[in-house]
Amino acid sequence: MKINRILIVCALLLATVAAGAQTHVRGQLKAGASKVDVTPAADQLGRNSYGILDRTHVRVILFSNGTTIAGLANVDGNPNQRCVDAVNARIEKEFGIPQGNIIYNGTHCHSTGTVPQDELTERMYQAVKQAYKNMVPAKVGVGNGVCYLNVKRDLFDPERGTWWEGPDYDGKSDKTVSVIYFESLDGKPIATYYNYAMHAVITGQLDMITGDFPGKSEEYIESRYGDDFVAVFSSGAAGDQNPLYFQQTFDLRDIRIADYAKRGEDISNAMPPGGQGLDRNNPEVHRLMEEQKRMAESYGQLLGEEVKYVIMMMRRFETNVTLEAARTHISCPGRRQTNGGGRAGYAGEYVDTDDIVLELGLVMLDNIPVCAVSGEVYNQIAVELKNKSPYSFTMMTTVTDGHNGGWGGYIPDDESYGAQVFEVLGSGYKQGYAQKRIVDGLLDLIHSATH
Amino acid sequence: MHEIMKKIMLTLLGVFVLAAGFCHAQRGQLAAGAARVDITPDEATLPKTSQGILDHCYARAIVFTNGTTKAAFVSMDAAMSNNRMVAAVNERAFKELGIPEGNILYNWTHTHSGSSVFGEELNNRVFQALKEANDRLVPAKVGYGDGVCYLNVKRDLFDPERGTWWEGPDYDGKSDKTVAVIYFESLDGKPIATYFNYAMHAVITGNTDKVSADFPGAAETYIESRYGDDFVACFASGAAGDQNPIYFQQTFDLRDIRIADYAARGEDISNAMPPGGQGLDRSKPEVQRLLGEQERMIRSYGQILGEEVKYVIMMMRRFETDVTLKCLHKTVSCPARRQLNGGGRAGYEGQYEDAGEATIDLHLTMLDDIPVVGTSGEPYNPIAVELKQKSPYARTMLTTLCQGTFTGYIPDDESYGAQSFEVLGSRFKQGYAQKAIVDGALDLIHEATHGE
Repeated sequence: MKINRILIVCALLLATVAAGAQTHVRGQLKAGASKVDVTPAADQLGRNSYGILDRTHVRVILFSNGTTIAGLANVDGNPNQRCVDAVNARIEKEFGIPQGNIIYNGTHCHSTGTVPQDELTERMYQAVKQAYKNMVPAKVGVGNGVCYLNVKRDLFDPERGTWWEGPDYDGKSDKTVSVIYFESLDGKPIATYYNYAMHAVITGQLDMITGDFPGKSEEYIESRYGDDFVAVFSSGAAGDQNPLYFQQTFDLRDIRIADYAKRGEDISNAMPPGGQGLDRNNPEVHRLMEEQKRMAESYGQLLGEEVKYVIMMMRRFETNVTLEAARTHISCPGRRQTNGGGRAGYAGEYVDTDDIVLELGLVMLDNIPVCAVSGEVYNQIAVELKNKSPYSFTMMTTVTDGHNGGWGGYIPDDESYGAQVFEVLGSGYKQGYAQKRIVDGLLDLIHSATH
Repeated sequence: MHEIMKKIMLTLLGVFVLAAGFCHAQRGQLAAGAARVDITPDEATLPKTSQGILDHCYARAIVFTNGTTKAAFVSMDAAMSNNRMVAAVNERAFKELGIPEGNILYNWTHTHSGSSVFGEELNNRVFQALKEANDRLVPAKVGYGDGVCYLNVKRDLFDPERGTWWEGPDYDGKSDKTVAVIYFESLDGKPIATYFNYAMHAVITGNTDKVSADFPGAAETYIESRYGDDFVACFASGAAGDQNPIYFQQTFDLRDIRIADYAARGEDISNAMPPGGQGLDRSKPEVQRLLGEQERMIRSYGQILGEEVKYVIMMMRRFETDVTLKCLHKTVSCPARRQLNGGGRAGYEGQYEDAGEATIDLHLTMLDDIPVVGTSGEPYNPIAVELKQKSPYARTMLTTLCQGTFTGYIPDDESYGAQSFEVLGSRFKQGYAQKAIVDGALDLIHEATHGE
């Protein structure tokens, strides 16, 4: 009996050690990528649409170390959770990819559109399937660059004497461009995943289908590395970050406000969707919209150049890697605004609501933690995470899947709650909780994945 | 009698000194006018190696006066200064427009792919720009502001992989990001012109062998499209001797392709630089892609820089209409050197002998409290930064490649250790030019505001 107990204890110890070894096992990296067009057909466009400016896509990178398989994917716009759930269930069954091991992030472009949900699900599945088929032995590199195209957009406007949306050149704004790059063992480029914190809002008033600057940068990078190469944009913590040069949108808003005022309607502190109500025969409107189209091209090229430069300067690659993926949930005290309606410049009033549950994700590819948050996170939350993470190439991707039918919405950092701007006013999170719980939650995921 | 005469004389002298003092600070109603004239050569006259016209080049002029003094800025979409043109235009501008010689600050945008009509035709067109600007003079106000633009980068790089100096983006190198903007509009708010200064070499389309005003021209036309047909935007190159566009990899890639192509024919150009795109095989898809990216890049750069200028203008709140105006110029000379072991582009130690003195032309247009300092040559960026730091005027800017004299690269003293083509080929001995420019410019500013 005593011998039996000793044998059982030994077996348990062995199992624990084996489990530990299993969890942090290294293996030959394999990677594959694909992209699939998800642009709606002309007859699927809304009645207010002005057509297709450029194509929208789902892009997928899958990778494995022989033990674990995971992925990073994006879709132009926001991720559709029902599509994600359906795709995850199917790929788990067919390819053994556990649910939650792929982080899907939306590029969050404000002018996108896709095929209907069922068709989108099928195309997302096809993208994953193709990436799976394309997997080859690979190596991975990582690097950081900088890009000065984003800016804090919560501005205390001394002329209005209140808060407003505008470029705060002195505001906190992380300029980091984080880049992961995969190539085959014989040096053939496979894919890149790059993270930058800037709202994809440049072409939002055109009412045309477009991938905005993320799509333009992806295409630009892809044209450098060949037809099979896939560049996946990942939106960093851009809740409070606009493109620095965004005056066209402000000018168009002013024109629209004046047009509405002539008809007796005050929209000076509101925001009709897209370009609704704009007189496109107005030459000034035409000029501003053409500048927006060109701006998406310019931003795409400049951001793309920085990504290419970071890739070019990579010298160290890993091919024998660890790979972990995990998800967790946090809950934060919620609030509901009781005096909504205005876009900015007034004190919000709130009542308490139930806690908000937020999903956090991690794909830890060797020493690169890609952290996911299913909401629109303020920039300084990602900066705090990066500062506290033991890993230099920690990145936070936002607007990800995992919101369980709800939506994470804007998540201000604690310091920013005094800003009377639409993101803060409309946020469902009470001050003092979300920042800490997101940062701690992600650090815990990183710790668990590595220890 | 003698005492009375002495008193009268002293009184007269006092009045004269006061009048002279007022002369320096005489204020008057500002008037301004602007124009641009196309100077692009006819396509049929382009050399055989040219690949055509990508975009047009212009002479742009802003004329302004306070009723007492008349002055002008002229910005040329071209690479290098042109002494003969300056002399000829100055003469006509004085005779026909009443702009004294020395009161026109010419600057070259330094586009490396610019081209223009030449000789008398060029003189006529530049004068025409001044004349039209002069004809359009209207009572005006002027504003100033500065912004930032992160498109430039220090280009002298110690490359740890080559183990030596080379041309490349030094992200941590010294690089002034300031965009300085002067803006004129009529008293009733009609935009007239802007003069904007930024330190970045106009080299993006240099390999295309197409006529192009590069990013300065793209920025100018972009800004002009915002403010209407009559509006003129003049780009002034800041101290860009060591400043490249940050995204310039296309040119480096094309150089590598060209080096390989030449090597295949048995010629080593790995440390040389054939002009433009000479020798590039333009039928190669990779070459086509890179050249296409360069053409797109000037549009991107032009738009981004143009947006910053527009933003600075939009944020201006204070304007002056009753202004002082003073123009001064001087020539400073510095000990010179001649390189004895030239030939390589970078990465070796230069050897020199003394070569007498080299001169630098300095110019000042002091428009109210805005000192626009012009210098011939291509000074390194820290020279302008030092000038701005030491100037009592917060709106000081340094425009380079000015007037007619060829001066070449002028490194700041700290940068002489860089074995880059600009430093190696500079004819200025270390330790003199930076001080000569900064002190010379500060003296001009002092003289303009305090008298000699």
